[in-house]
Amino acid sequence: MNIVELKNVSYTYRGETPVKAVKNVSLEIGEGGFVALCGHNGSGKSTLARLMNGLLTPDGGDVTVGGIPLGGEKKTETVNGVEMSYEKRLYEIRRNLGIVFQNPDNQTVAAIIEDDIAFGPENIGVPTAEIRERVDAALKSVGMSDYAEKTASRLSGGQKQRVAIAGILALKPRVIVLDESTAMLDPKGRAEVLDTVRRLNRDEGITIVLITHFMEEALLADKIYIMNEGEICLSGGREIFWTERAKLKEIGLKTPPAAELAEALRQAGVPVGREVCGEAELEQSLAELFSGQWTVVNDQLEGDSKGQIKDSGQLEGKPDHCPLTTDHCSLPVVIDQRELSFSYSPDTAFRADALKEVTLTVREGDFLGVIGHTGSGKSTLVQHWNGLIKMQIPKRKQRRRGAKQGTLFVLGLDLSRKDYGAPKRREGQGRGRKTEKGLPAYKALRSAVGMVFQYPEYQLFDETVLKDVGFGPRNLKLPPEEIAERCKWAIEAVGLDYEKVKDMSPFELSGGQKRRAAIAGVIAMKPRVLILDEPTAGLDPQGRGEIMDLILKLKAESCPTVVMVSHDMDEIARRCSRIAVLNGGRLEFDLPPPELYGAHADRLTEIGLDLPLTARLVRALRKRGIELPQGICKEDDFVAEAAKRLKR
Amino acid sequence: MRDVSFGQYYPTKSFVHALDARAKLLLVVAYIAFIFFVDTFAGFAFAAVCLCVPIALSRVPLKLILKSLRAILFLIVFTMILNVLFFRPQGGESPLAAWWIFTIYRNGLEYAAKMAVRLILLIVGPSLLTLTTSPMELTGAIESLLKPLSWIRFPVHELAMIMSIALSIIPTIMEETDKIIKAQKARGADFESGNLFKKAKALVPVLVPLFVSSFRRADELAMAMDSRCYRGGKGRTKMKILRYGWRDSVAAVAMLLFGFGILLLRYNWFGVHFITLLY
Repeated sequence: MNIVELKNVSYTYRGETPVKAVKNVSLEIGEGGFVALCGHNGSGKSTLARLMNGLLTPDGGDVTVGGIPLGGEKKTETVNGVEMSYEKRLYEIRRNLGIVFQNPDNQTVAAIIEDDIAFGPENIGVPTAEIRERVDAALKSVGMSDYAEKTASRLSGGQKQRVAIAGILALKPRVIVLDESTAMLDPKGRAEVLDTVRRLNRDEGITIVLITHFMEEALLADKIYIMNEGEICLSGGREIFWTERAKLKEIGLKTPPAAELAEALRQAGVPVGREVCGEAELEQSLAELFSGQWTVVNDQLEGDSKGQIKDSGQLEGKPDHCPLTTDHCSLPVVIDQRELSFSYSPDTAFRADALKEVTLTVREGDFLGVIGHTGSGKSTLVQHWNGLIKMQIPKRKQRRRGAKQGTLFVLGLDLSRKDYGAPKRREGQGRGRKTEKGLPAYKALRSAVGMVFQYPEYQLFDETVLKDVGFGPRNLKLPPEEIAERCKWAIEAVGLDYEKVKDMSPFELSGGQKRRAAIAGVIAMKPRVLILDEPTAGLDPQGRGEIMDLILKLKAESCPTVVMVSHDMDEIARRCSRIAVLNGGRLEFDLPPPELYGAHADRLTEIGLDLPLTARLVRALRKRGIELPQGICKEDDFVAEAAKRLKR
Repeated sequence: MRDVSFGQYYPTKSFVHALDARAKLLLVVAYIAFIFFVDTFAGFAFAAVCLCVPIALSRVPLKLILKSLRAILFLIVFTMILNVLFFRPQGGESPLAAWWIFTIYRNGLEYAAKMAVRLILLIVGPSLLTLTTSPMELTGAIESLLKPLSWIRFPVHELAMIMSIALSIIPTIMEETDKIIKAQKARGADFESGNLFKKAKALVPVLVPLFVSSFRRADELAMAMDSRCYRGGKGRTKMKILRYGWRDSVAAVAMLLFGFGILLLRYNWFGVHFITLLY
């Protein structure tokens, strides 16, 4: 039986320029199925989800959920011999089909978790005693029973989404639609949510519609629909990833990462089956190929991969002398940090140590990746580097108890001096040390070290893109001609059409363009170091690729030193020259990717961090007894290595 | 310290926690009213001793209760100083000390001390309410107590819903504000220097994104609520029903006795002068 039926459904967003978001879509979802709906941002996936439970009323076509037709607003329909008004049908449909939305923060109506989950059943008038049962059962289903009386604001993103799923489960739905519910989560949170919905599908027979732009998630489904420009352009099982590869490419979509890698291997002459698209299959297929022609390869990398390089790059003598040169390395040191510690609310019972004696050096030309769990101290670390967080100088009492004062030099500036960081009320007026240009020292620092925050588009505020990009340069009190020149340069550097966007409101831009405009606002300050916090979060694969290309271009052209905080291990392994791993406020490793993912893969897994796809494969194959060199973490290297050994 | 939404709620199990939130709310109102009847040191002593009973029963650490006083310590000290320095006696009382425009009278000192004690009692009572009642329970209590107003079409349910949502979204908005401020600071924004007008103008880059995102949040939340079958207060049931129990009766009787004691001391009913005998 079909639980969801859409017949020739269309929807147009009305407005100054009407947007036809869904065009004549027909779709049938069987009860108990697991369906994935993929496509670009803006392809109409979310609109389709909203049409399914009457959040939007279609312009034309029929929506039927659980045998109940939504129908016209004024008509009374007879369903199974019962007369139902539009409102009755609408709520019956919503009870049967719940949606989990993208942003985990915007779905809670009550501060306490169990109260929030009770919201749905309360709305449909479930008796009090039964609500309690439903809430407890829903919490158990998503594995959050221990949190019933906690506040939602303290949870991680993945936990929040599981609570949102529980909120829907309490309505006893037959279908759950996840509208990009994993897009804003870190890999751990994504795995939590996906495990939960898989279990619900398998054990409780709930139909799942998974809307996503991660193709590897689509592999969980038994049927995949691909949307493009408001239409369903492809549908089928996972075979579409090999039969329809060309068509997917045409609309700019990729196949799952493992399938992409398999394709690259095939092109290099490694006979991997064309039907390989999951990671486990690829591993199996490669294992069979390798065990067929077993060869011993000297494990070169393993021999000389060192442990944590503690002393590398540290300066001889006191850093005050010459913070910009070193005898270790020809490149100048940009950030020199030694034994830096930081704790939030230091003198209270709520004291939380965010950084513990972290020693790190960043040289000009570095592309440093910073990885670690949420709460491992990544943000605290990088926010020190442009003075947003002031260095903590231990008081005499703390010193006596053994608290050490770290040192931090950024571009040769000693950040332990008082006039960096946020200006104190009186210092801001100019009492602090000033640079030649007459700027307070902290402003000079912030212009030299640009920081792009997570979801930077949420900081846009001015009337036009031009004015918004000019905000930084204006704060630097530059002459008007230079401000204008820098704005033009920055807007063009991020790949926007200057003439077209300069007078537009930043809020009129599309999602990806907004992010570019926000990045332009930072690079207009002409920073020498660019720090990016999760620059690709929430974007679809195409958007992520474009932003990464942009970052590399900026690095090559204007800003030689880049620091990137990210959860995307493949991206980090592919682009970064070095990776700093933070765990519980301590610097666990500071190594180039091959060494990190080679010798220390086990430790990374132990502290719960992901590995890049290729490193995962190498690790799994080695465990099967196949001698592969450790430390392969880029696709190209992996393909080359496999081709060398397995080419026919 | 982002748990603003939780106020200062101290979750534990105790007699006071188990009271009906409505009863607690009404009792606190009664308590405040009674405190205003107290005007002798004996009365204050009586009130303070009585207040110790619910504090002990609540199992809230004394430290937390005193913490709520710390916030208004300045106010207490300030009013005390003003009262001492500027007290003008009605009769011809002779000053204890005089300096420049200030004169200190014995009555002034007494008055200031009473004022301070009254303020302390007025703060500790309600803070016991917020320490032992979660904001959600309070919202429910207010909704329930205001219910009669829905007869005159006052949107009681909507008001309670708004309070509940606000409580749950405040930590998120705070976090976001923090992030936007940092992001603009990273672009060289300066929020501290300049005159008042300049400072207000410097807030525009924070407020605009905050408004935009709040509207977006409101929009998304409305959709999430719709999709969970929300249609106003009509036909709604509740998971947690406030129940008036034996504890509440006990508390109400205790409060009545408390009020009676205070009025007794104030108006000297039955011609009882036993208190003066204590002096």
